[in-house]
Amino acid sequence: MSKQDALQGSLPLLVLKILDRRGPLHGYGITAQIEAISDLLRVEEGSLYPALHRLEESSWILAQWTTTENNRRARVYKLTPAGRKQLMDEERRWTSISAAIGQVLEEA
Amino acid sequence: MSWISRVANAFRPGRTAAGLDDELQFHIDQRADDLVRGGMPRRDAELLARRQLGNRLALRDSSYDVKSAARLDSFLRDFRFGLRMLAKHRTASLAAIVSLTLAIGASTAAFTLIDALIFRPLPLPAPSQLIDLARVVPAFLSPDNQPSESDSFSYPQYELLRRAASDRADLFAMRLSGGLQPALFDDAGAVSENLRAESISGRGFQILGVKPALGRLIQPTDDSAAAHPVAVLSDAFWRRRFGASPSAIERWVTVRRKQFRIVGIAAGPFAGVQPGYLTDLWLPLSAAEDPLNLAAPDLGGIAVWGRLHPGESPAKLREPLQAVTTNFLRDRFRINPPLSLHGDQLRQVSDAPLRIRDMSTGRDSLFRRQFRRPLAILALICALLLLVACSNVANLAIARASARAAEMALRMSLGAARSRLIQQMLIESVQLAAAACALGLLFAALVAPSIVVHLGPTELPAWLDVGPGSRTLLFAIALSLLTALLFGVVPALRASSVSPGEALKAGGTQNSGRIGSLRWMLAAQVGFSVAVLFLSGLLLLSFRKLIAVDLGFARDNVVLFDLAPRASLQSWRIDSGATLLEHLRHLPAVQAASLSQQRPMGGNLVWIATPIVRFPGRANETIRPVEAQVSAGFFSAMRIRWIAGRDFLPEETGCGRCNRTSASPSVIVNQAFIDKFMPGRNPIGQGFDKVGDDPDPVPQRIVGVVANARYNNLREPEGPTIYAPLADATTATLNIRTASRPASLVPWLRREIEAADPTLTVRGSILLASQIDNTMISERLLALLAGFFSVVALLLAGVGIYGVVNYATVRRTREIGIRIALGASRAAVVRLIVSGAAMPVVAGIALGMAAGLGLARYLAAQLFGVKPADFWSLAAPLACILIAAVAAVLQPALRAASSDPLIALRYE
Repeated sequence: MSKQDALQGSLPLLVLKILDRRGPLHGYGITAQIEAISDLLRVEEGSLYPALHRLEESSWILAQWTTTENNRRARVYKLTPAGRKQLMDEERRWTSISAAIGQVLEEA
Repeated sequence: MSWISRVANAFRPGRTAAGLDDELQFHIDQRADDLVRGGMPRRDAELLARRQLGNRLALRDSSYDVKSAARLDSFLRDFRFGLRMLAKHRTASLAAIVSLTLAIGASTAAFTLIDALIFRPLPLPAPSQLIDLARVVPAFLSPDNQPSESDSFSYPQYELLRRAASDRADLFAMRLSGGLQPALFDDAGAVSENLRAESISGRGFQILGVKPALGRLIQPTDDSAAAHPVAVLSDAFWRRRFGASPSAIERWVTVRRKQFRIVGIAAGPFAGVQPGYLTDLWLPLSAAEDPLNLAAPDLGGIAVWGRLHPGESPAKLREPLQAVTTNFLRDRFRINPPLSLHGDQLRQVSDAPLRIRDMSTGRDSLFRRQFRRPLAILALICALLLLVACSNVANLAIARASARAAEMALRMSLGAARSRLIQQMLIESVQLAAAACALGLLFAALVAPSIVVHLGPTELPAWLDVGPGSRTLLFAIALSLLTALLFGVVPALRASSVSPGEALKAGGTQNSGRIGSLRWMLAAQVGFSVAVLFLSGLLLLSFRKLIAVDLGFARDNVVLFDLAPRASLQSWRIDSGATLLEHLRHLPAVQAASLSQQRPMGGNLVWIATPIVRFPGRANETIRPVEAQVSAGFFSAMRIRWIAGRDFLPEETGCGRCNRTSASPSVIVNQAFIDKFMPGRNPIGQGFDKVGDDPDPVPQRIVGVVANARYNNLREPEGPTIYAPLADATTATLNIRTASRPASLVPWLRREIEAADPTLTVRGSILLASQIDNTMISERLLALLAGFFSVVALLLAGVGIYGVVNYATVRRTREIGIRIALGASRAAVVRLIVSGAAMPVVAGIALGMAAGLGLARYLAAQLFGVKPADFWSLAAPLACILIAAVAAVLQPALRAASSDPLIALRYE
């Protein structure tokens, strides 16, 4: 499994988590945050925006055009209550799966 | 994002794309800024940022699919594709559209009629608040011995009711009219026209909520005998008679021997409170009615209408009004007891329940009563016809879908989801239905008015607002969508269930014998067609029976003239009638002439007297025969057979009041009367008591007996009938039997009549034969439509059977070729093809007959002399469908049998 593939499935989870922790952010901000936290994970920028729009479509995040401090128009995303619930579900699933995989790896 | 914005995005892809561009550009700029901050030259930084984001166009597309409703986009694409496919299979599409148009058009026309006549609320504000009052008439007072409702009150009683109701409802009075009366406009010379004129109390229009289109309406100040008499026209009449010219205002019209000045037009579409009738003219009640009549406490004829105050219920209103009615009638019975009622009957009448009736859809007109059942039958047949058309179109679609199996398979193997294919097929169905809906609406708009013309006799035309309206439109659209689902779902599921590999391999035409669902659809189609044929057949056979009824008199060469005194309110004077008859009988063209109080075969248009008859010594037995008042010579003019006794003497005719002075007036009875009440006795000279209009029993003496003859209509059995000498009446009908065809003699006879007796005027004339036809209007209309529907159903069944058999034959071309090459006889090939179609056709016929027999009970009351299980009722539709099936199977079967095995084997 390549690095990118691993990230593909978990990108929405990461986005939701980042938005939950850091509050409203624009797309580039989300990339920067993920990269800042983890040296290992690099967000494939091409897949970020479709993922964001899909999340938006599912009403888990909300988008709004705002103006940044240096007067640029930026599209800022923030978590919705439904998104927060989804995040909790995803997180639980992720931990249980990774725990299960870890167990197999250790005991096999 | 809401679905609205997604839909919006699908229609303006430009804007969304621009938004996405902005967002991505922002990302690139931010990344570049960061890189520059990290020490990279700006140029390189921008390049790198751009490269990192990847292919911007692809990115935009994948986001665009999410952002705009991808579904809607595919929908639009499917829509365009569907149109292309329909245009490609032009014949099949056309056949589908035609059959759907007929079915949807017929259903829509039927709905328009039913809605306009029965269900549509009156075009007035808050129609649900409108009510009228009715008293329950006890069974013993009703002619058919069933409790009925009467909405006839006296004016003084109305005044009491109005006052008692004033807290909860505004009541007003009307005199509604079921017939037409002559009116003379001041621009018409001396030619009067027959109009429906109704009187309304001063606040009536205000309470109903009618607005003037021009001028003003009747106001409370108009409603007094002292006020200047005014009149208001209905919008529809104003348009027809005056071409909507404002000059109609201030004209004068003479009605009921009184002149009224036209002051305004009531705005359309309000046309009166009895759907089916157009009220031409409204007059103020007190000005139009005889003040003596209005003051009479026991004289009925006033309808009491009203509008409930907001929040009030009929139940709360009923209580005080019931008390008023009961007290009023008890008082009246104490002062002026009706002699025909005794003891407990009086109490039953005075204490009869009062009903507050919902009048949101108006009062029942004759047409509504008469056509409620026929129109329901029409709706039933239309629904079946719709199912025929649906299964027919489904068949066509299945056959076409099989031909398109290769296309479906290709699309599926290229990754199209099954739901996409179903969507594609359903969209094509909806497109067909939409075309049929538009054409069906057009069809209905053309057909409905011409059916309205056939609802009433020419003398009393029906009037219905069947113009295009939102209700009709909504109905047609809903029906079309339902239709699209009905005929679209099966083919869509079938077509989309192809397995791509197999279908592609088989090349589409040879995919193995899966015509199972096609067979079932064919059975369904034949079944629905047979049900339509069966029900229509019943109506046609019943009509045939009706026109063949033995009348008991000779219908041809008789012309009827309605006579009325030319001047004033004077009663019909029979001595002048006698002179008239004498004069006419001497004309060479006239074989016989007589008078009757009403038109013979008046049907629903005349009121039939059913007096109470009691025989001496049988006091408990009350009998209600039909009574007809006729002059001497009636039976010879009508050619009714004599059985015993004598005709009336000239001096017995007429003068009902002088009759009473003689010991016992003469009466002639029919055979049914004798059979029922005095079998085996010599009736001549026998007597009985009659209680009619006059409350005192009058002893009668039988002087003659005649054979049974229909007097009022064809349907009712020839019951006991008594013929009394024509008494004083304000009007009468002259029956003239001519030596030759009377139609051309009518104008001349009319002049002769008016010349012979200048005190008379002829109000109308009709041939007896036409008058008889008028009593069968609903039956004739239904038979006509049933005939039309049978032809359509038969045609559709034929097309369906042909389509399926043809399709199956074409698919088996190779097989047949092999069989012929191996020595199968032509007959064997024909048998092969026919046996393939026989099963579904026979199953369909069985199902259709069963459904028809089940549904026939809804028709039972409309049928005359025909039972669903009769031989012809069953045989006629069977014969029709079998002939159609054979005709449809023959051509493909013969073609297959004569096919050249070499060509067939090479066929791909």
